[in-house]
Amino acid sequence: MNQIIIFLIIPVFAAFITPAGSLINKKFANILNVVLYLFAIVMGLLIYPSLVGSTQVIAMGGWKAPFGISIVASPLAMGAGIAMYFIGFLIAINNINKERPANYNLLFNLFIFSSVVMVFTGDLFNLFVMMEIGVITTMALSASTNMKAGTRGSFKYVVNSGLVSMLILASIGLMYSALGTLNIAQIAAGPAMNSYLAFIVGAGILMALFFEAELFPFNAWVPDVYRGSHSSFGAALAGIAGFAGMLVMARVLFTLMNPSSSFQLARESLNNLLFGISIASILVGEIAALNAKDLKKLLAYSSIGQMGQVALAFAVAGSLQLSGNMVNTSPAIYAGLFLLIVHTLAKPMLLFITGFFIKATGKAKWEDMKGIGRVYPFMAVSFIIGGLTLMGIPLFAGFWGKIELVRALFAGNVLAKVGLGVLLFATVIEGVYFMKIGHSLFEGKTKIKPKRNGDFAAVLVPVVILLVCLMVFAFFPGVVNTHLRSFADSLFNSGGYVESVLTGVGL
Amino acid sequence: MNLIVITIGISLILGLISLVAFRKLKRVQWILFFINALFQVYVAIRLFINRGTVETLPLPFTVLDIGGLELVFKTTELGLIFFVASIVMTVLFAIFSLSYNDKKHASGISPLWMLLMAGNAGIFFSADWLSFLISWELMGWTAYFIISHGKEKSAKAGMYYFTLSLIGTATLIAAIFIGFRGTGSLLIADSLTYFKSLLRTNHSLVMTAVILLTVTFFTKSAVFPFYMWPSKAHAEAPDDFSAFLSGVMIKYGVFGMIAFILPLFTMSYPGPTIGNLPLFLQKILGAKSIPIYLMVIGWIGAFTAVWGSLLAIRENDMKKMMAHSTVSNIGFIFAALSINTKFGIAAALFHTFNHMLFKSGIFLTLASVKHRTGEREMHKLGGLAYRMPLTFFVFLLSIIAAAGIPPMNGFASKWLIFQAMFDRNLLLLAIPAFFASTAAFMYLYRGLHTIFLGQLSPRFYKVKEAPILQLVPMVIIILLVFVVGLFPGLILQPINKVLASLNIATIGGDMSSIVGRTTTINSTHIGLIFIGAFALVMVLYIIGKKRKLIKDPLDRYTSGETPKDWGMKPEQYHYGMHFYEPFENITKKLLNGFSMDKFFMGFALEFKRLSSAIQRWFNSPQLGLMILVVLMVAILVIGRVL
Repeated sequence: MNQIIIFLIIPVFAAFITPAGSLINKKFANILNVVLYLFAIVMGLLIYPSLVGSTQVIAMGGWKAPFGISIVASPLAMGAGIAMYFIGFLIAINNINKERPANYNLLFNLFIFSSVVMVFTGDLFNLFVMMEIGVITTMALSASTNMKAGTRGSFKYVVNSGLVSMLILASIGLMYSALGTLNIAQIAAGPAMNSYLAFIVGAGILMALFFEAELFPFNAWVPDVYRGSHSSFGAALAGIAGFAGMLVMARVLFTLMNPSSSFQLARESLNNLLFGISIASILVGEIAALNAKDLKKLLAYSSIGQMGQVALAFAVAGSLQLSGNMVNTSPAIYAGLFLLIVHTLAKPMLLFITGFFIKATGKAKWEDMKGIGRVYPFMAVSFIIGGLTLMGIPLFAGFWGKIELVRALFAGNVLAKVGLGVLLFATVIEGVYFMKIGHSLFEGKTKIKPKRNGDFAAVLVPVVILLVCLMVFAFFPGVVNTHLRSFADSLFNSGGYVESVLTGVGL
Repeated sequence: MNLIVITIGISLILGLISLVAFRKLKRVQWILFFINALFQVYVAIRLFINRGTVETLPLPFTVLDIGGLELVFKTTELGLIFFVASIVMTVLFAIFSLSYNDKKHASGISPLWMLLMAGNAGIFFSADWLSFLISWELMGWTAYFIISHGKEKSAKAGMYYFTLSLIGTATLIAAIFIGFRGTGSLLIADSLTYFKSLLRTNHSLVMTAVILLTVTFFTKSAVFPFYMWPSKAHAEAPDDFSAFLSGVMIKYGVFGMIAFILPLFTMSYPGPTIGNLPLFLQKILGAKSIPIYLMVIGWIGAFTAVWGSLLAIRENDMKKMMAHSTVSNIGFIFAALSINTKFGIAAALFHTFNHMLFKSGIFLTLASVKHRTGEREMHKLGGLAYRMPLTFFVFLLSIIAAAGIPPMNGFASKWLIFQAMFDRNLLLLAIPAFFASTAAFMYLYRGLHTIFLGQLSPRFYKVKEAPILQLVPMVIIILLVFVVGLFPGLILQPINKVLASLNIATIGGDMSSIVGRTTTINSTHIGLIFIGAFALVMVLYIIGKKRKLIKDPLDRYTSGETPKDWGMKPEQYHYGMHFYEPFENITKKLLNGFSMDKFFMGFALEFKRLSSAIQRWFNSPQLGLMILVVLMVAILVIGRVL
């Protein structure tokens, strides 16, 4: 079997043997996850070099595109896959001491599987199926710790997901009736749809992705789900699901809806829709976080804002592409990818620390955690560093992404200028709430006694790994810089994608 | 040898090491801080000898599509003089802090302060926007954590500062990218040249960038409308750091204005000037060639000076009072630099450094008083001159300097400010400046009288003089104040070099005299006359009738009745309470009625309410939205079908 397929189905394999294994030992799945994700990361890193410059396309079941499902293993997809397994690996370490029912681990594996495949797939219906798997697993996992808030969040999630599933299904149906294909590459190269139809179809697909990427207005579930689930699952939502959703959105926006695709007539209005949504997300997320009391919820709001910033980068890239400003398009996508990867690393770190603090204090509000930094200084300082990273303060990783984004916004149209104002405003608000909490961790005295046990180590290890990653990103962005730039170029160059998928297929 | 890069790097690394490794050994942290400050002095001397050093630090990655970007550090005359002054003060503060941070007062801020010193060097030497931005933000957030230093009340004050600081950085980023978009280069010089070249063709773009930068520097320097943060942050910060805040940090805005903004508004400025205004306004506002922008800055500065003085007069908390006084002086400096002639900039720089000296002296004495008594509110103090004579003496001489009385340094710079105003016919502007300068007497005297003079409270009978390590920096500062007061040339001659490097004519004078617009003064002579007068009075005092100290009870104001019976505490009938009550009554309506503080607080409150509202939306079931979306889709589809 193809290596890449093995890479993709590792979590499915884990999900299958988890129930049997947990009959033998309750912690079987915990160990299994750590081992398998590590295996997947290594495997991905070994495959990655062979993909650079030569995207592999796998026709599932031997059905060539556009008739079958094709898995497009581009460097971008593989890199994203490795990143998601990496976060999964850290989450598995974080969970290693916890006794979870077998179902939890089973569902979690399926959740990761759906997110990874979502990025790899070259077929819209397959994308839809994977989204549905992700939705069902999230629904179950979201009520994993706090029944009250979790059920609430889970219910909202179901309702929202039902709505967007309906939208995307309707869009796919409409598109299939209009074009006769659901292959991304073929649509990307295809004849123009009627502008009205293209807008409805495009908006339907985008809205499903807004939901997945925690963007306004389909994100009402976000705070409650973060609040109700384990903080490690919150990390998964921010670091895996949101990440995957955002990358798929980039793929949809720059490949599926490129200016010469079937969506060409509606591209501008779709782009403006994305602009509006991203600006609204930034404003809503950041302002809500300003006064939030519950730390997990606050991080959830902050995620909404951060995702909005990434979406803003993609929106401005789209508008630059449309206006023919090709020089700045790729840097704008790069800015988005950089901010996305920084968020993918920083937010799980913050959530791990938060989970640990909540356990140590027994309280969920940040005001009740005062002084905990005196007991656990490393954790609290890491929290502050995470905050500074997300704020985009120089000497921290987020800064490099933020200045690229500012630069792209300066090159953009009027909407981009509005976005610029909102972005700078968001930076101020982020600074206020992150630093307020960061300092409060060192305020006064606490009665908590420090414990250096296995639970502490299970949090410390992933936090240290993520912190090292963030520091590397901050001081040597060159490590990822070139890769991200080539990803941005490959996203921007939709012709290359089409060619690699449809080569040798006579149309 | 890359001295600037090395000193920034050492400050950063040493700061991190002391943060991580010496967390429990506060004394070691402070010694490291002192060593770092001494090293920076060495760097300053070396840079002073090798003028015009340019250092680059190539970045090994691509930023903003510029491959091989370099961080450039350059010693300009302006940056150098600011750096030297800030470092000299920091060494003195470091000595003070060594003694101040005993077991009871340890604040643990020194590692962060060391990081801040890296930012400090970076700000003054950056020749490209990237390193300037890095330094500026480094200074911003480290200062927040220092001001807050683990106390809830301080954290609120720190947040007030930090919010303004963040606003300032946001506008700074916007301004930087306006320049970057046009030039494709991150060098500050390139941006300034670009702005200069656009003055005629795209004036509004340049003004946008200028106003954005102005907001940055106004927030940092606490000029109106951002004048409230010092009274919170300077007051709540650790006492030894307050001196740095008031002495050094608040001057970054002055540096920024002179380095980045004023070069655009030279004599050849083509934009709107006072000459474009109606004739009657021209008559009263000043010389025709003054740009409107500078006129506005000048008036804002003068207003800040007046407002700061008025706020200081009614303040009962001694640190807050001196923070307001700093704001008032900053207003003076901004009014002076807005004149943008040789006199204007020289006066602004001169007053900046003078203020650095005497305000540091004042804040250090206040820190010592608080160190010994633990009190900050003036009506709880009094009579400390008997117990802390040397501290009292330093405070006395510092406030004489602050009031602008010879033979201290404040006199010459205030004189020069007024000379600069007369030079450009800014007579109307001189009125508020005069007013603020006079009002300064009131609050400075209040500080002297209520803290050091009057009756000593029984609580403080056992108070001792400040420790020797605290007295040393104070005495050095006061000697510097004296020397500069007698020989203003010591500072004015380096300032002349700055002026020459900015292509502005230099001001005349030698070590002891200054050539002004209307007249020439010889500070040494004036100073000696004053010293002679003091000496004469002193002689009369000594040979006069012997005075004896009567230790009378504190209840003498109450004709022997015991105020405790009415539930009153000694503080409440202390003479420091409502010291200037009639004056306070006059200004009360004005100061309470027009308060930027209230405005910003209201703003913050509205944001919090908005935040709660959005959170409520997230908590609600959102049926309405969903119905709306379904309806929207339905309408779109139906609309198409029909």
